[in-house]
Amino acid sequence: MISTFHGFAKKLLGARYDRLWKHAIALAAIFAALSSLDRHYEVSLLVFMTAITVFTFGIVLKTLASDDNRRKLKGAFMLPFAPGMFNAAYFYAVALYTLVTKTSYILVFYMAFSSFTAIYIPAFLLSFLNAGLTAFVIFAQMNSGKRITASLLLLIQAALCLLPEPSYRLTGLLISTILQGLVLHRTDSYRFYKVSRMKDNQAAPLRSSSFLRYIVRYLISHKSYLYNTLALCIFAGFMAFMLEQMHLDSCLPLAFAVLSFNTPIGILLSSNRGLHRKIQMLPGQLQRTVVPYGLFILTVNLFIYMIFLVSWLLFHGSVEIVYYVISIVFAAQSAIAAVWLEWKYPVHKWRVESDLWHHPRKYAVPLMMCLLAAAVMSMDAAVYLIALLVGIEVALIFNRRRGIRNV
Amino acid sequence: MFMQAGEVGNSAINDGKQQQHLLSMTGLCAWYRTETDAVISNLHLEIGPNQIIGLVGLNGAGKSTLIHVLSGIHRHYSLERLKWRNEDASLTSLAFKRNRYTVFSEDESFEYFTFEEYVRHVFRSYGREVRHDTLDELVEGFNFQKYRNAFLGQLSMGSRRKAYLITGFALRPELLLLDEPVNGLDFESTEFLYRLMNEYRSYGTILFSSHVLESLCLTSDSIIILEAGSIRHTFLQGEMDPEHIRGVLNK
Repeated sequence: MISTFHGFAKKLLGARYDRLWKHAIALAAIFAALSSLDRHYEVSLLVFMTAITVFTFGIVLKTLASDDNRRKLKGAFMLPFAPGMFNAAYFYAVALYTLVTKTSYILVFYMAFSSFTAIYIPAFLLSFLNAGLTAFVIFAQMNSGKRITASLLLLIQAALCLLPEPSYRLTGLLISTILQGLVLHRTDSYRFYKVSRMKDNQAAPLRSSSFLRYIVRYLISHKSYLYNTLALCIFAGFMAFMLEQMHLDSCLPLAFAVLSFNTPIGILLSSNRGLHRKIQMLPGQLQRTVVPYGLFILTVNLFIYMIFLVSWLLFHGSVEIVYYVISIVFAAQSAIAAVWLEWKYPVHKWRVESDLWHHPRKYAVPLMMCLLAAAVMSMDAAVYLIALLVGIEVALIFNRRRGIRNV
Repeated sequence: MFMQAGEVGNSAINDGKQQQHLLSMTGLCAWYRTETDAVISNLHLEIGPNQIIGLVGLNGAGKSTLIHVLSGIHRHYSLERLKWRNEDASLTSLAFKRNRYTVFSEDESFEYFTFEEYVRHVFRSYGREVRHDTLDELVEGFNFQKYRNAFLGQLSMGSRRKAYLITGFALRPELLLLDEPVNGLDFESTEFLYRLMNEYRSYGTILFSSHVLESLCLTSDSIIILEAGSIRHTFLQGEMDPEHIRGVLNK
C-alpha cells in the first residue's frame, strides 16, 4: 500500500514532493501577511465546517474526474493489488494533494481572521475526511450507474450540513466517516477508472472545417467547463440587483470586470497540450484558430454582459448609452487578453485539471479589467482611450505582417 | 564534423558549382532544463532537396527533440544560423512553416475534428486546395475509408497515426518530418508507407526518425546517427548495411 501511495502522491505532488514545501512556504507567507492586517471576523463553527466540506468535496471530485488522472490509473491496474489497500492508497494520495494544495488555503484564511479554538481541529479533520470519502464513494457509485444511491448519499450529506448543533454535527460526521471508510474499503477499484468516450463516433460529412464548431463540440463533451459561465449568468442578474439596491450606479464598469472572471473558457488551449503543440506547428493559425477562439470568448462575454444590462434595466429603469459602449469594449479587451495569454503563455505544467483551473494566471485578465474599470470610474474619457487601445489591438491582429508574427 | 557527418543529400560542391541546400542549420543547441544540460549541442546539419534522410540513435539521443525544434514547438533552443533554400530564415517564420509539416510520434490534437475536417483545416492553414484524387488514393492505401468521418479522438493510436500520415503525404510539403512513423502501423500500412516514402523524392525531402533499422535501410538515401545530441556518423547509399549500422550504434 505504501508504494502504491507514493506512486499516486508523486504524480500529484511531484517526483520529490516538491509541491509540499512550495505550498508550505506560500501558506506561511499568506498567513503572516493576513495576520499582520490585524483584522478579526467571527465565523461560526458550522459555517467553517460547511465551507471545508463543500470546497473539499468539489476539489476531490474534480481530481477524480480529471481525464489525465484517470488515464494514468491504467498503469496501476496492470499490477496485482488488493482492492481495499489500493483504494486506501489512492484516497490518502488525493486527500494529501487536496489538503496541501487547496483546502489548507481556506484553513489559513480562517486561522488568520477568525478565532481558532481547539474544537476547530476535530471539526476540520472530520469535515475534510468525510467530504473526501463522500466524493470517492459518490464518484464510484456514479461510475457504476447507481445514480439514485449517489443522490441519496448526497442528500444525507446535505442533511448533515444542516444540523444546527455542532456536537450533533460532529457526531454525525464521525459516524459518516467510519461508514464511508468501510464502503470505500469494499468498493471495486475499477470504479475509479472510466474510459472517456465521445457520445458520437461519426459526424455528418462537412464541406468546411471551423474551429468554432470544434470549440462547441469540445465544450459539449466537457460540460463542467460551462458551469462557470452559467454561474456568471446568474451572478450577473444578482449583481445588477445588489448594485441597484446599494445605489452604486458608478460601479457598473467594475461589474463588467468581475464578470470577465470566466476561467474555464479561457484555458481551452492549456487544457489540451497536444492541440496547442499542433497549433504552434501549423502555419496560419492566427486566422484559423486564434481569431475564432477570441470571437467565441467575446460572444460569451457579451452574452453575460447582456444579462447584466437587461437586469440593470429591469431594476434601475434605464441604461446610459456609455454602458453599452463599455460592455462592448470590455468584452473585446477581455477576450483579446485571454486568447493572447493562451497563445503565448499557455499553462502546461499541470498535473491534474484542477491545477489548471486554480492556476494564478486566471487572475491576470480580471485584474487587468479591474484596473481598466478603476480608470473608467475615475475618468470619463478613459473609456474612449480603452476603445482606441482595443481598436489598435484588433488592427495589429488582422495586419499580420506588422502585428503578431510567426503564425 | 560539419562537412563529414552532418552533410547529406546533394549538398556537396561539385565541379565548382554550388549545389542548392534545402535546409542548412548551424550551431543548434536545444535543452529542457538548463542550457548547460543540452540534449542537442552545436549540431550542424545540411539537407539537400528530394532526399529521404533517416535519423537513428539510442533513446535520449535527441532525435525527437531535433524534429520538435524543426517543427517550431521546442522553445528552449539556440541556433546560430538557419538557411532555407540558401536564404536566411527562422524556424517560426511563415515562409518556413508553410513548407514543412510534421507527423509527431504522439499526437492528441484536434480530437473533435473528423478526419475530413482536419484535412481541410490543415490545407487551408497552408493555403492549399485539397487534391481529392491524391487523398482518396492515400486513404485507400492505408485502408482508412471507414474512418473518414470519424472524430480523431475516437481513433486507435494506429488509425490516428494513419490520419496524420495521410494528411502529410497529401499536403506534399517540401520538407516532411516524421517522428517514428511506423509505430502503431499494421503490416500492410507499413509496406504502403515505405512505398510512399520512396516515391516522395519527386515532391520533396523527408527527415524521419526510427528505431527500426529495416525502415531506415529500405527507404533512406542517407542515415544520420545521433548520439548525445551530436551527429556521430552519416551513412550514405552503398554503406547502409543494418549490421554495420548496428555495430556503430553499439560501439
